[in-house]
Amino acid sequence: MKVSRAHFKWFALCFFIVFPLGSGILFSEFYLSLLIRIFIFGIMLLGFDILAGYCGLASFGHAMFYGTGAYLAAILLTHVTGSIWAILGLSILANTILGYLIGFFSIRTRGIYFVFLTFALAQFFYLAFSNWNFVGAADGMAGIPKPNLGIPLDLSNRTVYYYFTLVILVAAYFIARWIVESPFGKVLVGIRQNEERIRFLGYNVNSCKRRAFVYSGIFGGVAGSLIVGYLSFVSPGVYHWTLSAEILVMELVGGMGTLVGPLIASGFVIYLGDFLSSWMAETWLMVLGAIYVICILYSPEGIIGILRKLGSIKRFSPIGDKGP
Amino acid sequence: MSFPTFLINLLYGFTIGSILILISSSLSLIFGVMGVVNLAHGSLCMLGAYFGLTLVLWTGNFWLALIVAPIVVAFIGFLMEVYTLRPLYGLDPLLQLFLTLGLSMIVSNLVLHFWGGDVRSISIPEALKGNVLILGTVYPSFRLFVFIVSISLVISIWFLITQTKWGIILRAGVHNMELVDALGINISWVFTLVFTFGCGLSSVAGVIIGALHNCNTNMHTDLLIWGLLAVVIGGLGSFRGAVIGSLILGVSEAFGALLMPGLAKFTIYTVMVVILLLRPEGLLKEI
Amino acid sequence: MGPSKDSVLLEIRDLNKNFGKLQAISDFNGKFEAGQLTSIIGQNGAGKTTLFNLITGKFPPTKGQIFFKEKDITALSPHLISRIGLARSFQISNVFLDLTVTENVRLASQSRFSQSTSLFISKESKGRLQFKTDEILERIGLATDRDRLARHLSHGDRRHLEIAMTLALDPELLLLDEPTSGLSPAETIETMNLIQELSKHVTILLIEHDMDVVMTISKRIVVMDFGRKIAEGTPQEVEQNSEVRRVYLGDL
Repeated sequence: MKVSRAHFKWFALCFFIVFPLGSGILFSEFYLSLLIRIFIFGIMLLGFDILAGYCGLASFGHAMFYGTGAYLAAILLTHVTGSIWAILGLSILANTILGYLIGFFSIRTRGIYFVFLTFALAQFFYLAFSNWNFVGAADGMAGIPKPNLGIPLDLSNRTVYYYFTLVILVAAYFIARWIVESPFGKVLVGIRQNEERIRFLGYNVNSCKRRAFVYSGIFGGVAGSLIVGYLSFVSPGVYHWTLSAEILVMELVGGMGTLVGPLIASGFVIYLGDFLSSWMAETWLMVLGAIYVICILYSPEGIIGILRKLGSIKRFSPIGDKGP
Repeated sequence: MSFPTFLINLLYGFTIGSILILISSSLSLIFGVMGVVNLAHGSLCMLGAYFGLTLVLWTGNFWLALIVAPIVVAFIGFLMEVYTLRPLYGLDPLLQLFLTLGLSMIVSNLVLHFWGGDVRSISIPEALKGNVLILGTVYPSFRLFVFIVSISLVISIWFLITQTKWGIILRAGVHNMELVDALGINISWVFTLVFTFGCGLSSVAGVIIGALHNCNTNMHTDLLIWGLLAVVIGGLGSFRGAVIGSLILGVSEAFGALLMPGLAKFTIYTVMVVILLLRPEGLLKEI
Repeated sequence: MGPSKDSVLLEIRDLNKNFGKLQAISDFNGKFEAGQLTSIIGQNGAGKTTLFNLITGKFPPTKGQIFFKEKDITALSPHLISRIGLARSFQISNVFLDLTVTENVRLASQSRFSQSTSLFISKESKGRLQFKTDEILERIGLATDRDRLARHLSHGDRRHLEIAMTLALDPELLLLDEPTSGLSPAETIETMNLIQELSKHVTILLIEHDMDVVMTISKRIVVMDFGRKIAEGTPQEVEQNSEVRRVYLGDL
């Protein structure tokens, strides 16, 4: 059974590697663009799954990290440097600090209060950046210079950017896997299941939660920087709570604590969104909401839950034995 | 600021506050009794506003709209509770929260889809247009009317909750649902009743806001946030808390708009964060 | 490698705890020697679990101090207390229901490794962790259920898992809260033997209602009533204590 799951992943990877070859020929270039956005969101969802799916901290403010990565990239690209490596590096640094701070404050609350708090904190960022003239206030910044790789591969070429984000996504996936399969990851699962017991087993729960915030924030920040590198545009919308809500929806629809699930869901949701918004304008969110509600009512374990029920994947224990 | 001006602003603040009470008290009660934070509350309130708008456009009768729109929304709330919330009772409360989030998405985008994104206003009846003279200051009649209606509603509900048998049972249920069950009362229907009534109540506020201010497709966010903040200040589950929290917010909005308009939104979130960090049970003691 | 005898492992001085107007613990004093099994008995509501909660740092006392190996642990948080050698089990099984038995015990064992919350773990450490987990499972008798979800365990097995997880923490002092609650007579004897076996290597504080168990395996007994200690001594001394008899109205 595990064989078929691994096979599926390799197949998907190969598919995405050869996909651009058909661009412009078999299908429109638009799909490359769509996939780039899906990959970027996927990176963010991987991080969010660590926080919400494994550790059980369903933050309603994850856009904070995405937005910070985005604005940081925007400012750096416009005023400082075009090196994508410098930008990603600084984005990681900034979001490490941010993740620690947000984590420090958020974990003092539980349950619904935690949701409110993370929401309120994210709103701060939204309001602040909507009023900060240096970054264009409510209008944001447009025409941001493209980043460069430092080698003769042009990042403003869509195909090149496609492969770049794909590589980062794959790397992000393996890093996320490593995190959740490490001793740390197993403690996170324990925290989600029975926080009191984990504490009495001798684990410093607060410290672990803060770290979960930091790790997941880094993923979000990288995603934010990547989207700006691609779109050359940023607006306060990257901090908007509806983005945090979308992330939550994707997480739930995909299957909390499965890594792959939210990845698939992000692709599904973005594709669906694009497809529907062409004939329903912004109200495609209505359909998303409906799908989401149906998911909660009938398959709280999301897409992975559905696949599991169909028998093609055996019980995926979040801290299962990988076998000798 | 002269004393009459101060009083007029206070009146306005109380007006906003009492409208907010309609929203926040129902939100608080739904949480207190059912354990559900209804994130769809703002959207349903907005739905009430837009139904009111349409009814007034069709019939020209504001009073009709004020009564019928809440009934329609209450019915929708009824359907929601029975078909989507009920199956989730006893499960992870986070799931219920996510569900109401989804419902909120559906409702708010439904409104956008059917009514479009333009800002509209509900026309107020002729009799209520114009101004009255209070303490030598000119004050819009409709605002006064709103105040009277809202306060009356709040007082009636307060009376219902504290003086009638059912009200007392309900408040007991906030603390201990098993007790209510032991009295032989069907909890399911209590939940349905509370939710339905809550939706209806907040849509009354919606219609009023639609006439006093306007109908726009973003109002659900602000309504929900204000409602939540009032509830957080007063303590989740407490009617009295919602009342006091709403009045505080209403008065600060009335004076804040006058004194420092730009900082209004920042202040809301700062207050929210501070309360959540220091005293999430609310600034006040229990009911 | 048992604990040295005649040294005081745990000392409690003037412990008081009230919840609002309710005085849960009043002026509790006690010295618990290493290597002994001491039972704490009393009616429901006497404050026994509250005592455990205070010792293990779940909440702070209103007054008083707690010393472990002569170190003041009164204000320490639960995870630190666990780390210095004090482990507790819970009255109501507090395990990870959606994990297997092995995963439960492994999570407990993991906390004593230096890489407990690390992102890295060497193959060698992984092996040692698994070895230790298997050892505990064997010792407690849960090896055959290793891949079963904790949720699907019988009540008796869950109580054993409870003990297994506590044991995996390599404690010097083990606090067991009613380990035989809800068990059948056969299971109770099994558990009693297990605890007796454990008491050869670990100092144990045991809250129990089953008087047969208490009388059989305890070296010393502490009797509590309404938050106070009303008697202390060997099983024989306690049995003959008039105050104890009065409180229990012949239950002994």
